[in-house]
This record gives sequence, structure tokens and C-alpha cells, in this order.
Amino acid sequence: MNSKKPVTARVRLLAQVDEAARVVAPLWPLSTCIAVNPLWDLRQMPFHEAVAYAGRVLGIAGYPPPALFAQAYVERRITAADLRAVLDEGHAQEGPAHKSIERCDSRGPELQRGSTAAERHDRLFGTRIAEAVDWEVAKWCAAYLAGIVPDEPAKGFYAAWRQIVVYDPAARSIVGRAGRKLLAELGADAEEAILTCLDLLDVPETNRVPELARHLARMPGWAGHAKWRSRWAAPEHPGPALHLLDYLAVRLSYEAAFLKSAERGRRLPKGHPLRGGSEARGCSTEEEGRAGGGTRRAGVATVGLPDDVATRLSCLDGAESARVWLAAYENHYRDWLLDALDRQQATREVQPAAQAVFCIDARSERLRRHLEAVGPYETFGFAGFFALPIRYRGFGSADAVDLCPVLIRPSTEIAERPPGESHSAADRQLAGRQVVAGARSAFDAARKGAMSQFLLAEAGGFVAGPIALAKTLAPSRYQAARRFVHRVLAPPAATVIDADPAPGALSDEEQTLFAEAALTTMGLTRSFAPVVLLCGHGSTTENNPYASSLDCGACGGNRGGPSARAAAAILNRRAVRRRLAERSIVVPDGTLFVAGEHDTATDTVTVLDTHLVPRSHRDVVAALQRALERAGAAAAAERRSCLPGGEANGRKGLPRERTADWAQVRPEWGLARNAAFIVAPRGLTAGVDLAGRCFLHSYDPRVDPDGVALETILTAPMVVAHWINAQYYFSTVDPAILSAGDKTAHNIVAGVGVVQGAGGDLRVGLPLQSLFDGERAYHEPMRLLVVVQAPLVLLEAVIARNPVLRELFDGQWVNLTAREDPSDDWKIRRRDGTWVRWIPAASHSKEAAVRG
Amino acid sequence: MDETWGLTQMTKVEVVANGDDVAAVTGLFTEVGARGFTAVSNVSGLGHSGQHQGRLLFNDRSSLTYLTVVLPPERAGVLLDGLRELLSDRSGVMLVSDTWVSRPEYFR
Amino acid sequence: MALLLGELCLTGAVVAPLAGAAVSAAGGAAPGRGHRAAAGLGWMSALLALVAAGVVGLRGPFMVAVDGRHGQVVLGLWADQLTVTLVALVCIVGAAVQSFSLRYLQGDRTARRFFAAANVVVAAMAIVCASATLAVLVGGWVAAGVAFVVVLGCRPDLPGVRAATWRTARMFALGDLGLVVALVLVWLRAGNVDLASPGALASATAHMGGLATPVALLVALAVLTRSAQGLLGRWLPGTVSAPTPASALLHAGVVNGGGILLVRLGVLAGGSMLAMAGVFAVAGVTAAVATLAMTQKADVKGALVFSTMSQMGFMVAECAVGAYLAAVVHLIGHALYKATLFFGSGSQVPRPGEAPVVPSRVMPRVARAAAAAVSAGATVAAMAAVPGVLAHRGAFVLMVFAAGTAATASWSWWGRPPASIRGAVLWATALVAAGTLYGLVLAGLGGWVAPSLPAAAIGVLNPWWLAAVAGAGIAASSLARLPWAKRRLVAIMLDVATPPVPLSARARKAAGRAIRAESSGYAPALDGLWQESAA
Repeated sequence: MNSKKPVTARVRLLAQVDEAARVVAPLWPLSTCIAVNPLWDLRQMPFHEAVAYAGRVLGIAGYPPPALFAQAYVERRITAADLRAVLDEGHAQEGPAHKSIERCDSRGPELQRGSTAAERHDRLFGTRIAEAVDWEVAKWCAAYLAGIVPDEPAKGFYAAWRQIVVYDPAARSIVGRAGRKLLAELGADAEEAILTCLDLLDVPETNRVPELARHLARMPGWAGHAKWRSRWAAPEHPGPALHLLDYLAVRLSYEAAFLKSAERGRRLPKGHPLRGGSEARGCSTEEEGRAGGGTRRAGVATVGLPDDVATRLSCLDGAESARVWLAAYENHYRDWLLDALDRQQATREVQPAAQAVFCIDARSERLRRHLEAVGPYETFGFAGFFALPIRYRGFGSADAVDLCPVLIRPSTEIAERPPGESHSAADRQLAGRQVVAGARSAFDAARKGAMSQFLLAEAGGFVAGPIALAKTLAPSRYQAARRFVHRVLAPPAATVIDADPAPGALSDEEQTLFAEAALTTMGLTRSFAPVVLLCGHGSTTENNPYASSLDCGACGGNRGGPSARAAAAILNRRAVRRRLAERSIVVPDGTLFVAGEHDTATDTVTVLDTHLVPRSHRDVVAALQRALERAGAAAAAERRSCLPGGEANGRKGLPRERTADWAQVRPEWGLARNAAFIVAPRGLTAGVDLAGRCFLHSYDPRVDPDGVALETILTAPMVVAHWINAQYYFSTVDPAILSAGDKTAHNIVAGVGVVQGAGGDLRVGLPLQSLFDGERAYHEPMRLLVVVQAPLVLLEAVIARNPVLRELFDGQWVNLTAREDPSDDWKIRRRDGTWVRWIPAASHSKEAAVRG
Repeated sequence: MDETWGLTQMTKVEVVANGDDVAAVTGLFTEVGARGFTAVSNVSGLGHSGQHQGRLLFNDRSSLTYLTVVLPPERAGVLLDGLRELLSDRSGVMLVSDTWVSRPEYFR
Repeated sequence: MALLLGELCLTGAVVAPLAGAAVSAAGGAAPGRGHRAAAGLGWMSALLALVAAGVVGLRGPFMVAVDGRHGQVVLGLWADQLTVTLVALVCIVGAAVQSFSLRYLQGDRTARRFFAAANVVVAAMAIVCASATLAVLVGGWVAAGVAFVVVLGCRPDLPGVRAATWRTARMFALGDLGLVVALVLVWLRAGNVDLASPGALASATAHMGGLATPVALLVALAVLTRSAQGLLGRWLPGTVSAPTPASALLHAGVVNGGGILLVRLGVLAGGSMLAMAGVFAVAGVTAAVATLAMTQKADVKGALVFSTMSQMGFMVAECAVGAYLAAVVHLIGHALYKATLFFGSGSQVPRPGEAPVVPSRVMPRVARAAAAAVSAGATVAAMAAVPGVLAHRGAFVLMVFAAGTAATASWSWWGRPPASIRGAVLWATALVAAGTLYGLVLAGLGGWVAPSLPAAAIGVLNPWWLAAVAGAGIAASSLARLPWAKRRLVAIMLDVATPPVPLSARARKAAGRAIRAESSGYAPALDGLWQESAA
């Protein structure tokens, strides 16, 4: 057991672990919550195959439940015509076989599923080893991340665990003292431990990947966190590092020790996890029944299906039937959307008083629509980081924030500094913030002190009681009072973003590059208005562990204000404008770029850095601010009717009140009901009421002859939108495993994630309150519909030279619809790359009726 | 070549892999004991699974990276085992060749 | 006239939550109009309790009672300064939990059950606080326990709730059984003790004779169970599985029942040196161990649970040494504190970029200690300056604790002081203000409640024993810092702090396929047939 494993085995193990880890998706910590496609690393398979595979390994449901489709049919959200059109298309057929990561293909269903040794033992003997392993591992993961487990010298999770588990009473009670000693001696480092345990558990080489995959799949939360840390996080990310190999080593050590101990057949008390029971048979037959899968006919039990549709549906088995229904569900929306886009009137050609660039976030759609309605304003959509992959350090902040999508790493750091030479106002603010932070840490120290905690609770209670009452009964007034006190302690000071080129910062050339990329990708290269507002977004909520999930995903789960400020500072610089002019993007001297931040919870827009606005532009900016207020109020009113309790709860239902209310579990719906990603000039969508369901990215093919801008849009913002859509889809479709569960029982662990109740797995995905309204799903689980208005030649070239797009489009993770220009017909891209003209399902039926 | 020019023979392994897989590949390099490697990101090309664009402005993980590592021949076999396993189901290629280096101590 | 008003208000304060329970039980499933009405009734009961307190202040204590055949009280409510304050506390906590739940439990199908049961808990605890006879008090106690178990079990679909509910029910049954047996013993010897008349408790204790000690021990059993002390407190960590408002109600309204019982029963429980010494020992050890366990909890709610165990240990220890006023003040303060912390337990996620850079200037240790000492001294002086603060039993011990608290906080503050003198002035002012305010609260509340508190029995433990509780805690924490002991202690504490595997719930999640037998409304019925493809 102590022999060193050969390097060959270790190296092969690394590759096997990487392969096995494909079944879980990385889980970002709550401080920078990123929505991710849970099956992202299975995207090399088509959607249906990946869902089937994940169904076997993770146990998830990949399609919406029949009840949802039945309800949709009753409400005419799906019509018989939709179903007929899908059945005619032949969606039910399997696509060309793609590479599958199943290696052992023709063994029995058990091996094909991949189960852990503990699960097999449990099935045969009725023990509960697998759960005991899960619970213990979860306990140590949480303790390690919270810094409770001593980790000196910092050698990682496995080393720290090895040193402390020898004293663990829980391990002793399960496996005895000897077993506990064995636990810590299984390997000097993580790889060795894994190899030793796999040998002890008699796992043959060919079964290693499925076994390891199932180990990771048992707790997708902790495995996801470990995968994030090993594969996605920056190596210098602060805090204890829980790596994938260490996690597997600990899991396998427990499993090996528990199983070896169970084999010895000790006398065990009732309820002990290693003691066999009589539920054995029941468990196994039930599981076999599910794993083997019946060929029982599925029914979406509906009345009123026309006979021909019902007959054809009944010939399909469960998964195929689900595919048909899902496609019908999606196509119904697609038909509505394309029809609405076709029907909208041509916009008026009037010189805008100001232009505003909002993030592609679906929540911006409402505000943009109302802003264009209240005045002569033109809006654009661009990813909220404004093409600046930066690390931002606020003035006097302890750490820096990465303000870019997680698909890239920031290239430079940009700092905030006081304007001009004198620092006194900014220093005073910093001193005030330090006072507040110091008081908070003093309070924490007293709270944990053995002697000081008692009177602190007493005295603190008499202060906290009135505060709690104020927060519960009059939340927005309390918030105003708290902000006032904070302003008194730390008076706000004007600051600017430091955009000057310096060694280590962005040079003029680099700044121009990013500026050009932003403007060209948006299509804003001429006819600049006197004021161009660059508007990032964020969300203000109270008492919300998932606050970061409501902020800007393009800025890495942070607020977008600093990005907007940096972009505005860069675009206002004369050196940059000169170079832009050399590249034939002429920004008139009279054009001013202004930064703003849209608070999506209250639909208010704050113009930032107003002290930098010269007198000549103050009127325009002021008028723009007033227009934004009116537009925001209209957008908030529109949203209020959708929010549960919005009407009923009186004043507390107002969006403004909801954001300050600590008892509010659903301050805003976030990106629920997102459905489509539209890449086109604003002219295509202007005036159409998209109900806040579409991501809108501006694009002008006239300034993009090579398709570089289109490629940029499709390979980054579209991937981010797909992740968001997939996260919402899977969390809605399988809330038990892929959603974070009920928010009311959430318990924050180590500041990185939530568990439900007392312990166990970290939850992945979104909380139920973001997806469901009571029992009814508020979010419509559909795959993202990408609508592009660009030359098809360009689009096909872009797809041909980007494997990620081929995977997404050919694999039907995302549906693609495109047309050349407004006079063209909409075309739908099939999975084999061919285009077929779009025919709405309703007229398809008529045609079929006419023909046949 | 080697004796007259004072060079030592080593094995060079070149890997072209997705940005997503770079961390796993470099992990293998480290495990085998390679002292260092070179990585060139955002390369383009045409391959068995289709064409690959080079520079994607805002996506490091879907573009290709070209990695080179040089090892003593006795250790190269181990690395190849692992790489073979890793790249078996993904798009990526591995090229192995002999090379001669003038400072063998850098690579042992 | 005023007395009539007071009687009506007191009765209303106790009956209104029951009406609220009825209204919410009749209302719809998810929070709606019925529950808003219930919450309104909750606030009304709090208001009525405050009005009754006003009447007590003007006219002195009064009773609302149904008399028996021989003129003694059979059942009724007694309002004196202590009881009416406690009723007001319980009603305020209940109303706050309900107002919070109106929005927090939006969409929860079991909200009706929660509101109804929570209102019953409030009413039962109000009866415990204000009952005029022992039998009614015990009846209210048992009812509060049962209703709380219903509150806990509202959401059986959440992981761990079923196991936690069973555990709590079993332990409550054990403790309540002890109390009921004690009641029977007292009834046999002394009849239905009238808790209102002074001296009734003392004469009842005298009547008990040899049975006084067993009765006191049985009462101690109930106290320790309800306040989650020692091995009788193993039910508390599992309760975090329930939704947040249930936890808030528990930690602010139910666990302090132990202290309330000891204060109300006065010399019946407190007269036995053996029982009080036992209670003190268990509570003291719990306080020390729970303090250590609190720092080993990675999750927010778990840390709050152990903090509560420790605080309740301190409160029960204060009762055991006869420092009843300190215990009552602690009871009230802690309830408000814990409720606030549980309500706000979702805000413990640090966002990057928010924390300001730590001031670079570091004070040398000697200067730091001196500054901490001065700050502590200033706080204590400010506290002691308030007239009437030192007039109760155990006041000097509390001064020592106050000094310790101020010193700990100041030590942390002066470690990295902000650059400006403004910060130092702010800190000093804050401490002096805090000390003065606390002194005012102590003196005010003390002056108000003191006439109705039981006198400490002769021979009970000396209040300075409380310092031993702190000492034990400090010793344990220092031990945990020693390198050779650190790992052992961390491992042991982690095990103590982790509840056992909630096997029944997890068994369903095993093998990767959730068997979703029960539906909470959020888990759509799964048709396993979507899964199989080329099977």
C-alpha cells in the first residue's frame, strides 16, 4: 500500500480523471455566480445523446415533464399544427452518430451506467455506505473551505485531511480505530491514494472512467466546485484550494476503507451505515427497472389531440416523444417571434438626440423599448464589459475584480483614482469606509470571543431588534436611513478611472484596438449623437445569496458600472479618437461618451461620473436622465404585474420596495423566460414588445465585410447567452438535482455556496424562486433560439471555422435562424448544415391540407 | 549530428489542443517531470474535425493552443500514454519527433 | 376602569394569536389575505401587551382569573411587570416572524400550516409567561412544544426535516414528561399552586418536604431540554433544515422557555442546591463547548445554532446562580439578536471589491493592550455611571463581562486603526454610548421588572461562578490554539457540531435517481420514460 505508483499509472490517471470530470460542470462561488450549461463538457455529443448520457450517470431528467407540455397544450401554447409540423420534419429520427464518450458499450446496464463500488454494495446488502461517504466528504469539504481544517504547510485538501482524519470520532465510529488509521495511509499524495483505492476496490482499467465519473456525479455541487478550482479559476485565486484530484482521493479513501471494513463483518448497531438491511431487494429491483428502462409508452395525457397526431405520437417511445413536444414548444415561440419581427413597421429616420448602449441582457430590452418611445433616442446592444477585459481595482479596495466573461482572462488592471492632485475628499471617504469595516470586524471578534459573546448578544439585541422591525415593516425607509448614515460616515467623493497609458496598463494602441472592436461589432461607426451613454447593469437586492447571479454575466458576475466608466474614459481620449479616425471610424469632437449603470431590480439608470460632463453637454445629459427616469418607471410598471405579490402586497410589491426588503425571496425575475438571442441592427426589433425575453446584440453587416464582428458575437456573447439559457432550462426541467432548491432553507457554507439544511452537497443551479411561481414554472424551458440577420455566406464561413459553433448548432444545443436582409425569407438551419425556408406551423398545416 | 555539434538527443512532443484542454495537458507535462514547455495560443488551422479559427477576441477556451515540450526519451513514453488517453475523444493532435538540444540539463 | 382595560388587553394579547391561527388555518394555502390578517392580529397582540404593561405600571399587578370553589384561582392570567414584559416579547417576536414570512414564504403551499402553528406557539408561550397557576403554565409549555414540532415539520419535502422533527419531538416529550410528573407531585402535596400570590411558591416548596429536590430536578430536566443544553440539546442542530422563519421563531421564542420557566417557578426550582448546581454545571459546560463548536461550523445557520446553545447556557447559568434580572435581560436581548441574525442569514456572501484596504499602520502590542484596557474602562465607567445599574444580584460579575466584551472588541479595533483621529474619536464615542445605553437598558428594565422577580434562595450558588463559565470558554479556546491540540480539538468539535446523516431523506437521492414520491409543489412529477433512449 505504501509502494510508490509508477509514473505511467499516474499520468494515465490524470487523463482518466479529466475524462470523468466531463459529466459535471464547474460551479462558481457565490461571490461571482456564473450561469453555466450543466452539460457543457458533453457538448461534443448532440443534445439528445448528452441528455441521455447525463440521465444515466447523473440521474437527471433532460426534458420538461409531460405535465408541463399537457398544460401548454391546454393553454394553446402548443398547438396541433406545431406538433404536426415537427412530426413532418422528422425530428424524431436519430441524427448521425457522433462520438460518444461511452467506452464499455455492450456490457450490462449496470456497468454501462457506471456505479461506484459503494452503490453496488448497498444494492446487494442494503447498507448505506454511499450516503455515509457523501456526508463525510461534504463535511470535510465545507470545513476545509471555511479554513477550519489546519492546512500548514499549505499542501492542499488531501494532505490536510489526512492529518486530521486520524482524530475524527465519526470515522472511528464507522470503521473503528484500525480502519481510521488505514484511511490516512492510503497514499502519500492524491494520485497515489486514488490508484491504491481503485486497486483495493478491484476496479479494472476499462471501468475507471465510468466509476470516477459516477463518483463525481454523486455530489455535483462539491465536484463542480473542485472542477472550477482546478480548471477554470485563476491559480492565484485567494482562499483554500479544493482541487479535483484531492477531492477524488478523499472520496475514494473513504469508500475503500468503509468497504473493507464492511467486508470484515463486524457486529454493528442498528442504523449503522455499514449494517446490512432488508431494503436491499426493493432498492435493486426498483433501480433495475429504471436503469433498464421500460418501453412503456409515454403519454402526455391530453384530451383533444387530433387523431392523426395522437396516432403518430403513440408510435414513439418516451424520449422521442419528449423531443417532439419540446421541438413543438420551441417552434411555437419561434413562429411568434419571426412573425412579430416581420410585422413591425419601419422605424423613423430621425437624428437621435442621444444614443445609448445597453448590455445584451434580456432585461435591457424593456428599458430600451420604453426609452425609444419617450424621445428621439437610439439604443444599441453590446456585451456589458464593452470589449474591455480588465481587472478593476476601486479606489482603496482590498482586492481587484475581474470584469470580463469567464471565457477569457483579464489582460490588464485598471484602477480608480481621485481626480486631480488633491486626495482629501477621497481619503476621507476611504477613512470612513475603514472605520465601518473596522467596526464590523471588531463586532465579529467580540461575537466569537468566549467571554465577550454573551453581553454582546444582549446589548446587540436591543439595537438589532428595532433594526429588524424597521427592515421588516418599512424596508425602503430603513435603506434610505442606512445610506444616509453611510454617507455621513464616508462622504462620497468624485473619482475617475485611470485610462492613461503607463507601463503595465493599456497602451494607446491596445485601447484603440478594443475601442474599434466594440464600435465595429456593434455597428456604431458613424452618425454619432452628441451624447453616447454606455450603460452597464447590476442589481441591488437585500439578503440574497444569489445577488451575484442577478448582476452582469458578461462582467463575470459583477456590476457593470466600472466597465462602462473605463470604456467611456477610453473613448473620450483624444489619442484614441485620432487613431480611430485613422481606421475610418470618425468620432466627432462634439460627441461625448458618458457612463451609466442600470439597476435591473428597480429599473433606474444612474449616470456615473457626472462631474466629468462639460458644460456644453449638461443639458443633453440632463434631458437623457429625465427620459431614462420615465422609461424606467414604465418598465418597472410593466414588470410589476408579472411579479408574484406585485399587485397584492400593496406598497411592498413595488419593485423599489422589493429591492430593499430583506424578506423578499423574489426581488426580480432576473433572466427567467429568456428565449432568444437576436443579432441584427436595432431596426429589426425596434418597437416590438419582446416582453424582456430576448438578448439583443446590435450588428451591422455593412461595416463587417469579413465576418469578424459576427464571429466575435457568436463565439463569446452567444456562448454566454447559451449558458444562461441552458442553466435556466435544466434548473427548470430537473429542480431536484440541477436547481438550488427552495431558497427558504438555504444555508450559506464558507461563503462559496449554499447547502439545504444542515449539510451535504452544495447546490448547483438557480433557486426555485427564480424559476417557479408556486407550482407553475414561470420560465419556459426551451433551448436558445439564435436569430441572425447577416449574409448567409458570412455566417456559414464563421460556423465552418469555429468548432464550438459547429458543436452547438449541429448538436442542436441551440436553434439557428437567419436571413440575409429584411427582404429575404427567414431560413432555419438544420443539423446537417442545410438551410430550409421557414414556414409557420399554422400555414404548414394549411399547405399540407391543400396538398393532401 | 549530435556528436560533432555537441548536442544531446531528446524527444519533442507537440500538441495542438483546445483552450479548454490546455490545463489538463500542462498538468500531464508537470506530472511527467517536464521542466518547462512553450505555449502559443490562438492558432488557426484545418483539421479532421473541420476548420479552426485562430484569434477569437473574447473566447480563450474555444480557440486552439499549440504546446511544445521537450523530454528525455525515456520519459516521453509515459507522457505519450497519458496524452493518447486524453486526446482519444477530443479534437487535438499530438506530434512526436526527435530533436537535439544543446543544454540537456534544462530538460532532464 | 384602567384595570378593566388592562384585563381586556392582557386577555386580548393571549387570545389574538389564537384568533390569528384560526384565520390563517381558514385562509388559502399560499400567503394571502388570511395570513396578512393573522400577521395584523399578531401586531395587535403585541400592542395590547404593551398597553397592559402600561396599566401594570400605573395600577400595579392584576389578575384575570376564573376562581374555583374555595376561592383559589383555577385558571387565569397574571400580569405583573415581569410577565407582561415577557408576553410583549413573545408577541413581538411572533408578529415579526409572521410579517417576515408573508413575503418570504411566498408561493409555499404549506404556509397555512406554518402560520397557524406559529400562532399557536406564540399563544402557548404567552400563556407560559403569564399564567396564574402552575397547571396552566405546564399546559401552555406542553402546547408550545407540540405546536413547535408542527412548525418544524411543515415542509417534510426538505432534506433532513423529517429526521429533525422526530428527534425534536422525542426530546421534547422527554423533557415535558419530567415537567408533567413534577406538576403531578406538586399537585398531590400542595394543590394547584397560585403563581400570582407572593409566598405561594415558598409555601408550596415547604409543603413538598422531601420531594422538593426531585421536583426541582424534574423541572431542571424540562429546562435543559427546551433550552438545548448538554446531551439534551442534540435536537437543536438538526432544526436548520427547516425554513428560516421556523428557525427564527425557535431561537427567539421557544428556546428561551427554559429561562422563563426557571424565573417564573422561582424557589420551587431554585431552592434546591443540588438541582441548581447540576443545572449550572451542564449549562456551563455547554456554553464552553458550544463556543468552541461555533467556530468550527462552516455554515452560517449551524454557527448560529451553537451560538444559541452557548447563550442559553449562559442564561440558564444566570438563573442557577439566582441572578434573575440578568437572565431576563439576556433572554430579551438574545431573542431580538438571534431573530435578526436568522432573518439576515442570506447576506453572508462577501462580494469582491467591496472591502476597503486594511489600514497599514499596525499598533504595537503594548499600546494596543493599553488602548483596549482604556476603552474597556471607559465603557464600564459609562455603564456604572447610570444609577441603578449595580442594584441587582450579579451586577458586578456583569461589569466584568462588559469589560471583557469591550476589551475584545477594542483589541480587534486597535489592531489596525484608521489613519485619522476622527476614527479614534468615533470608536471611543461609540463605546461610551454603547455602555451608557446598555446601562440605561439594564437600569430601566431592571427597575421595572425587579419587584416581580423571585428572590434568590438562600444557599444558592454565588454569582461569581458565572465567571467560571467564561473562564472555561477561554481555556477551551486557548487549548484549541496549541499546535498539538489543534487538530484533535478541531476533529472532535467538527464531529460534535455535525448532525448525523439524515439517512431517510438521502436514501431517496441515492443511486443517482431521485424517487420523488412526495411532491412539494416544486418538483414536477417525473416520468422516468423521458430518460431512456437506445436502451
